[in-house]
Amino acid sequence: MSSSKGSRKGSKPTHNSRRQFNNQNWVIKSPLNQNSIDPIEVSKQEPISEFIPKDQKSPQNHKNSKRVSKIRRAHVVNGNFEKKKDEVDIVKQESAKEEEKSGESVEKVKVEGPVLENNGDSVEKVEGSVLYANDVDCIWRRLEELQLGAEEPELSAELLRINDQAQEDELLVLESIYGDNVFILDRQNGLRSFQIHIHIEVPDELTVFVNLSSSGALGIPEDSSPECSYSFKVEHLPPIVLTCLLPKSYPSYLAPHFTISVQWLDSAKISSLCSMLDSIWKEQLGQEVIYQWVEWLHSSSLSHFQFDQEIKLGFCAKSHIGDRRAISGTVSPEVDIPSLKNYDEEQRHENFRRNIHQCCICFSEFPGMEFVWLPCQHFFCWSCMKTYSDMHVKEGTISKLLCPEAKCGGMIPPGLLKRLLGEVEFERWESLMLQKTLESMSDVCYCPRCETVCIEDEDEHAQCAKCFYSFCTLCKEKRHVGVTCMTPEMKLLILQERQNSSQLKDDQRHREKEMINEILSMKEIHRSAKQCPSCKMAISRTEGCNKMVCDNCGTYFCYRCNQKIEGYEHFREGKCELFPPEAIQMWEERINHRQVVGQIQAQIYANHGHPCPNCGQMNAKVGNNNHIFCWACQNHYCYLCRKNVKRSSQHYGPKGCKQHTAE
Amino acid sequence: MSSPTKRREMDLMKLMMTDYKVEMINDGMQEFYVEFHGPKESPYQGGVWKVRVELPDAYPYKSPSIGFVNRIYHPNVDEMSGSVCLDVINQTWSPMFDLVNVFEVFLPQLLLYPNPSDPLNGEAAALMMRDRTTYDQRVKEYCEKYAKSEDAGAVPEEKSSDEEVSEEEYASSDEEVAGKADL
Repeated sequence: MSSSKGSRKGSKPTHNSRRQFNNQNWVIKSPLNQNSIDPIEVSKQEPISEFIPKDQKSPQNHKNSKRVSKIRRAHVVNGNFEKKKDEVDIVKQESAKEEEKSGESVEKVKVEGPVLENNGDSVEKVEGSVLYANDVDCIWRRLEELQLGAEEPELSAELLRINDQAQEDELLVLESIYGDNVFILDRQNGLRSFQIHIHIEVPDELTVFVNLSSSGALGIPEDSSPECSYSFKVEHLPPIVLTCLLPKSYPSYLAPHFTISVQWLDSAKISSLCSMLDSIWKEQLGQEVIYQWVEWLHSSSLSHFQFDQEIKLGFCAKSHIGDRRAISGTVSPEVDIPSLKNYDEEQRHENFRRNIHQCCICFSEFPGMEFVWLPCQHFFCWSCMKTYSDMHVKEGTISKLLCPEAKCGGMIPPGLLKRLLGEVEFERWESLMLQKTLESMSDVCYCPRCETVCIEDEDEHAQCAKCFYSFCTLCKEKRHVGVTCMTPEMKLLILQERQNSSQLKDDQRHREKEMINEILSMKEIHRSAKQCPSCKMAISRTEGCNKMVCDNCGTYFCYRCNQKIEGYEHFREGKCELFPPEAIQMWEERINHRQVVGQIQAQIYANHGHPCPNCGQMNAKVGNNNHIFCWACQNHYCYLCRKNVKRSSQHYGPKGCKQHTAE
Repeated sequence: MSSPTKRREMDLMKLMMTDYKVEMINDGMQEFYVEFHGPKESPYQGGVWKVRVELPDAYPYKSPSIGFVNRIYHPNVDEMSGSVCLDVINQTWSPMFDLVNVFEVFLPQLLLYPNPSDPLNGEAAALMMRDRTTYDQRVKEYCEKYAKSEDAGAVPEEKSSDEEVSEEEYASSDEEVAGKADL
């Protein structure tokens, strides 16, 4: 990821930073943004350093040798805060941030001062939103500015009380409507403050266009040439973060002081949002306005910029000197595009997990949690994936163990396979994979003594690198130059003889017994199966034709003659038939009950039979009925004139053929 | 394992819903016959075939067996047995495919675009490569002869029609004979 530099003053916010003040020690844990962690360059004039007691400040050496200030974190634990002052090495922190998914590696940070109250019950909720760069201090600074800049009128105690009550009520209402998205913060100098994450209403098909060519310019060019823009679709956008500080005279006199932070909009646009909020306030002075603000931001902010189906984003290097309340989180296309995409993906996954879906293999419905996602973005229920994987591993057809989606062929990650199959079956999978790979190398074989993998030399000979046994690769015996291998029958006889000998030591006897069993097994295999001409895997045909495909290596071979073949050519050349006659007979009986009878009759009454005019099969005339119903092609014809008969009443009769004649 | 029968039932129902005539062979949902019409824009258009489908136990993880009951002239179908050789279906099968797929997509595609590279019916393949028009004609002839809707009808129907005819004939001819005798 690129790291961008920027001067600290009023500018370049970066992602994933957490800041904390002494005075306003308010920190929001910045969640799940795993993208670039940009080091924050801090200058000595940086206001934040004013707030940090000097004894705690220690410049850290960052990878890029920038001076960075300390960053403290708040660990939000079930609504309580424990914050500690922490001396954190920025490097460690950056890398920890990159790895952390759900706050597992968050350090506890102790803090003095007011505490961030989280309305949601846990860290995860906060993490769902992204508070980029915004140095919380940035927000607070600006709010402070606003507060100092605004003149609060002197109010009577009565009015103060009314306002206070109104504020409290309003906050309660907001909490009840927006629930977890509202964070009531601690009072700052006695003023209420809160933050609300507004999830923008996104239309179904929203495309984001990012103009890549404007990085240097101040303004954003109006049209972006197609080559220089990148577009992608999203269903979720990172929320608009509205932070408010309620003055004592709100709602009677002053509007709330607020800042708007948006990760993906530039300051100019955010400024325009701020102006919009101002005008909404002006429309109904003296009344509570926050709900209207939130609703407007939620439903109309996109259309405000005419971003109805498409969002066009551009990037300027320097932030727009505009509204101080506008805080933009944009950095650069390389940073923002992935972060938008990530956010979108996470939200989609979260949505998926919450809902019930139907598995497209078994059509049963399960909650989203029970589904397995493959890297190719296809998902299936756990039990189907398990059945599928188990079946292939059991049958050894692991080369077909890919994404079940038609025409996808995506790989299934081994980690997932391990969880699906369980330890034992996974080991089998691993050894099958190894075997397949080794077998695909034709010159690999196994040493009969120590089972290590060896490479075959010329002429069916190999020498084991581990035990130096030199053996014949055909029969696995000691190398016998010039002599042919001993046949299995011979070997069997010899071994059986030796079993009877009393001189044989126990372990040797045992070993030879094993060899005998092995040879007997091979004999049995040969009786009921054939071996693939390429890989020698024993294959037994249960049904179908004689064109066999070896499941192990994919070679085609003929079951009759055991030769390797290319296609069906072999069966047309004559010697081997494609279907064994018994099989054809059986099928024909099943589909055409007449065939057997018809054929036999044709043979018996051979002199009373002749070929059907339609298909040529022999049909016999049985009895004296001259009307023949062909058993093969179901055609009706007349025995006498050998013509097809359409309507028997017309064909037979005094004018036509006689239907019954004795033979 | 998730219930295997649900998937079978769904597939069968879907097949029936898409207006295919399905005839069960036994009650176990293992085998059945389906009436299949030749795809339009192909020489097989207008032909009606009875196709036998057998679902293995491991369905849908394993592909079903497909066979044509009445004769069809096609490079990838054996003329005598009607079997569509496994390779063609096996290699491309996925648990996501269902029976409707087979009859709506797979079989029509097979008939529209035969695969001449590894043909079961070599003569058909050779003819197709050499002389497409004659091949088309041949296909149509076979359709006329063997793929009329009666041919793809159920066996019991055939029997009854046969018996009907002979009974009729017998009846009429007897009368005729009787008539003649009088004269």
